[in-house]
Amino acid sequence: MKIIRFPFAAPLQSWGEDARWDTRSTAVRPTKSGIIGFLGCCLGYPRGDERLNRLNAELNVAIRMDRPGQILTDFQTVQGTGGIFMNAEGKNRTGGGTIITPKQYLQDAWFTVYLQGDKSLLEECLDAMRHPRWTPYLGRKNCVPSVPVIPELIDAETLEDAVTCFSDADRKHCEESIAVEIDLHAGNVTGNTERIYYRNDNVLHAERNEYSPRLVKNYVISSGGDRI
Amino acid sequence: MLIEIHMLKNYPPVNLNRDDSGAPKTCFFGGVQRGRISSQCLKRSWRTSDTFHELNNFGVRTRSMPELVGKRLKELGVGKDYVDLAVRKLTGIANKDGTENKKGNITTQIVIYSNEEIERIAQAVKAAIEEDGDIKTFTKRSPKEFDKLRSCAEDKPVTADIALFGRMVTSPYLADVDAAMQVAHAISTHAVNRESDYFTAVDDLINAGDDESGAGMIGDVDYNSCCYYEYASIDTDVLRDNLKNCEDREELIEKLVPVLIKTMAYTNPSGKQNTFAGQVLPDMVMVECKKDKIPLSYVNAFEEPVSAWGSKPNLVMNSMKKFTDHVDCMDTAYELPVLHRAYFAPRFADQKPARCDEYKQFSALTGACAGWLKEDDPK
Repeated sequence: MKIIRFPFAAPLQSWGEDARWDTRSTAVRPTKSGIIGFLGCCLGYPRGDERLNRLNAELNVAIRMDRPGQILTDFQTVQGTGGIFMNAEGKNRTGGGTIITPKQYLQDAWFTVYLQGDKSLLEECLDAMRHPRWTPYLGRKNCVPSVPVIPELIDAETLEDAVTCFSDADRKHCEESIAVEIDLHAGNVTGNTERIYYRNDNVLHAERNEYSPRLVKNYVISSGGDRI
Repeated sequence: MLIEIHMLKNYPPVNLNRDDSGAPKTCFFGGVQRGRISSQCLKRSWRTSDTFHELNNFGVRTRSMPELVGKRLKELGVGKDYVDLAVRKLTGIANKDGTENKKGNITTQIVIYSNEEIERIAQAVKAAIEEDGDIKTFTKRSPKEFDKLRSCAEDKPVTADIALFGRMVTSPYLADVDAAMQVAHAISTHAVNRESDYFTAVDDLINAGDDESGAGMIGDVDYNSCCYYEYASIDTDVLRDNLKNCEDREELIEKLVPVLIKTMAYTNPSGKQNTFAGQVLPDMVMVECKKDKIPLSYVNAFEEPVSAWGSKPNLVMNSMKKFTDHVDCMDTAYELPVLHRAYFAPRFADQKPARCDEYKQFSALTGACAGWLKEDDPK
């Protein structure tokens, strides 16, 4: 089957999975909703567009954590004019005229993302990523890629097989043991070296922050491609 | 098209942007600790700088919209009673409940307004007053109705700063604006350690020998000295779309890009500047223009950090060498769709990418970038 793969690498990237209120956290690897959003940006589908749901349904995702990175919490503040902020009741907010809004990022991370789906859909995505409608970014607008996100079309039996292929260029930036996370309905539940869990990142309606659970499995491989 | 701006700025000891402990911000890159200036800090310093205001097309970020509209209504000849009432009702705008704000003549939400928006609100209020004919009828209008009077949110002209940096509002009557710019956090090209300045404040009058000797106050200020790589990009299609209701849109865009590049070069964040006075200009400015919007930061040039200590010939030169080598490498390996590449590096003329147009004067570079916009093919 045909699969496309591309790198998500940047000094800072951020993938919110459960990020709300003042501190905006990041998950330790890209979310499917984030990846679909990235494709949507390249394809020119605005937030809340139904075509994003179609993309979500028709694409299966695998993420290889070539370099997991570390979490950085950026101290960010928003200042109120004249030192005041109002709360929802229209009263002065206690705590003064500055709101602290920490933002989390993954620093020094490199992920290889694999998408599997219909050949014509993959080709559409490939073309859009080569000629994006809007300038894409990795989670937040200040997360600019340090490696161009240019996809390649590859052949593999399954997503699992695709993920175990390492080129020489890949090995230069990969760690020795690498975690892999795959959409479960795309593969089989085999062996007991797998962790299976839900991620809340299937796109329902991004503008309203609505997501549904996605079952994934996670296992570790070496940079030689063997299961550990 | 996508315009990408790259700069190298080398600072003396400074603390331009600090974290919650008061120390300059840092991050890890290539496994090594670097100095960092957050993108929000950079954007704010540019947005508020005098250089940027040369554009003369700005919004004001405020909650005092009712007073601004009131002032305009008076100029338009509306009577004081009506104006006072209108001001009170306008405080309910952008408020989910639609009730007036009890805490004074300000709205509960802070929003950026352009002069044209204030004018439109004033005209809409004046029209409502004329329609009502008497103060009793006008009094009955709820703030929610005023929201509706201005519900031409879609065709509101937006100012340059909003078009570039974006705006997010939780009221349905003002449109969110997606930023045309992406600004990366600035990262140092080399490893950084935290340094601390131990200082004392000595009393001018109380001397040693009196009951109290020594310093009146003791403290410390953290600082570091970094050569930062800065990256920002502008999506001209998004910019054009954001400015769609502006007259003279093309003219504004052609002025905006060179003013922005100049602002990035000339402006430094203001954190602790009274103490450190770190006002520098970039040693290198490179501006690229791509037809396909594949953004790329050349930060990986510094993945292996430049050696900061004993750097020969010097830190900036070594940073530039890594930078230009990396640009050439990415150019060749990826055949990036770069239409133009303007390069300016006054101190190190010999170090430049293989494919570029070199400019000896900064104004010549910004002028060239303005010229590219004329070739831009709006989507």
